[in-house]
Amino acid sequence: MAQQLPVAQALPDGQQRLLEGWLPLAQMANLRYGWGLSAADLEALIVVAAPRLRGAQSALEAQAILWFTYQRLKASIL
Amino acid sequence: MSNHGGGIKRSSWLTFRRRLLLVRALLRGPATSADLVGAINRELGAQGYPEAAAAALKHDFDALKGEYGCVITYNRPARQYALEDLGELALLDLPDDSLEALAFLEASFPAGSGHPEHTNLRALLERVVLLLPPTRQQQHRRRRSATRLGGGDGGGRIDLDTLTIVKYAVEERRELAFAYLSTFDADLPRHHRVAPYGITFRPEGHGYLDATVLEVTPRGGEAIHAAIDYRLDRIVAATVMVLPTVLPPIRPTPPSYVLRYTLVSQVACRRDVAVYFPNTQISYHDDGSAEVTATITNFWQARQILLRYGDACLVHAPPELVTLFQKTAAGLGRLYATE
Repeated sequence: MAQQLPVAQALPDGQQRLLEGWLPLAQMANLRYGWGLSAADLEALIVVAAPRLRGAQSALEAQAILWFTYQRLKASIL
Repeated sequence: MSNHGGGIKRSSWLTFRRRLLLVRALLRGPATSADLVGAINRELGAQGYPEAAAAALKHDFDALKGEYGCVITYNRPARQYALEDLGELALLDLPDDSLEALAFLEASFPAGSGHPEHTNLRALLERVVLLLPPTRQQQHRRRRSATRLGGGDGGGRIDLDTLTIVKYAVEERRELAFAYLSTFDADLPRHHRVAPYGITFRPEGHGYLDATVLEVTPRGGEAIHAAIDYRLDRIVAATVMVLPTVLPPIRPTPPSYVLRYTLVSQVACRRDVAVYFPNTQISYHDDGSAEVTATITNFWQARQILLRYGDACLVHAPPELVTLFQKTAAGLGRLYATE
């Protein structure tokens, strides 16, 4: 029997490309740092980090921004 | 005798302390002899340099060079001394984790980036590295190159003027024109007019402009109003131009497609399949395989991402992407065909 995972919500216009663009890097960070974030959580992380990501000059800087945003979100949740 | 011995000890200690203070003053930056004498005398007062300090200062420089291997240079036009290398006085050491962090910072803010805000940071990093002993400096240099490779800095360098202009166009929501050399353009770049929406970086380190195609001259295979990820390092430097036309309030929606692919048990059996596309749904089957559905707008990008699975991934839809994979598979077949 197939097991169905939770489905991500439909996206507002404009966010599709934002997510498409950043998901590979966010997923790499998710694996590298062992965050274990779900698809929906990763998308939320990208949306929150988007304003800072726009200023990134390199993949390393973007990765650092994702890490920073994750830590901020984690701290605000705990 | 004992008083005499104590006097020598005190004198030696004072000399040693004066030389350390001299090094400390030079660590702040190049300085004239008057600056250095002033700095020492402020610290040591009457026990600092005598009135005719030039000979004593030279003696201290000689000692620092001879006894501790310091490299101190003199810039004659500026009449300034500069500490180039601390030699044996490189007393700072750092844990490996800190060296890794230092390498990360160096890779993130590379030398010669031309950004004014990076200049102070670069100077700081160079100062910290200067304080490390030679063996640790060598380790740091090796680690630094590894970090750069790990960060995927292997792609072509993005022209900073191009990046600045592209960012400006994105922020101002203005059309952008540039010459672009795609993978399929042999030698001659083609002229693209686009609506720019964002810049992204991929794990391999390349930077991309997310834009909607408005016009390409001469025309190639690009569909007008398709969303394309332009590699920033392939935009021909000095051809990028912000146009007066402001973007419409709503982005021309590129057609979106339902992506469906199967991952074989070998990669899906641990039920930790990666999410690479929006609206991803994953169904795990009893045989260990997984069926994934998602939404995409860019076939080329989807192909690049799914190719990482090699022959462990079978794409079912959309048909355009299946055709792209068939072409790729045929091409790979030709490349690897055995006689």
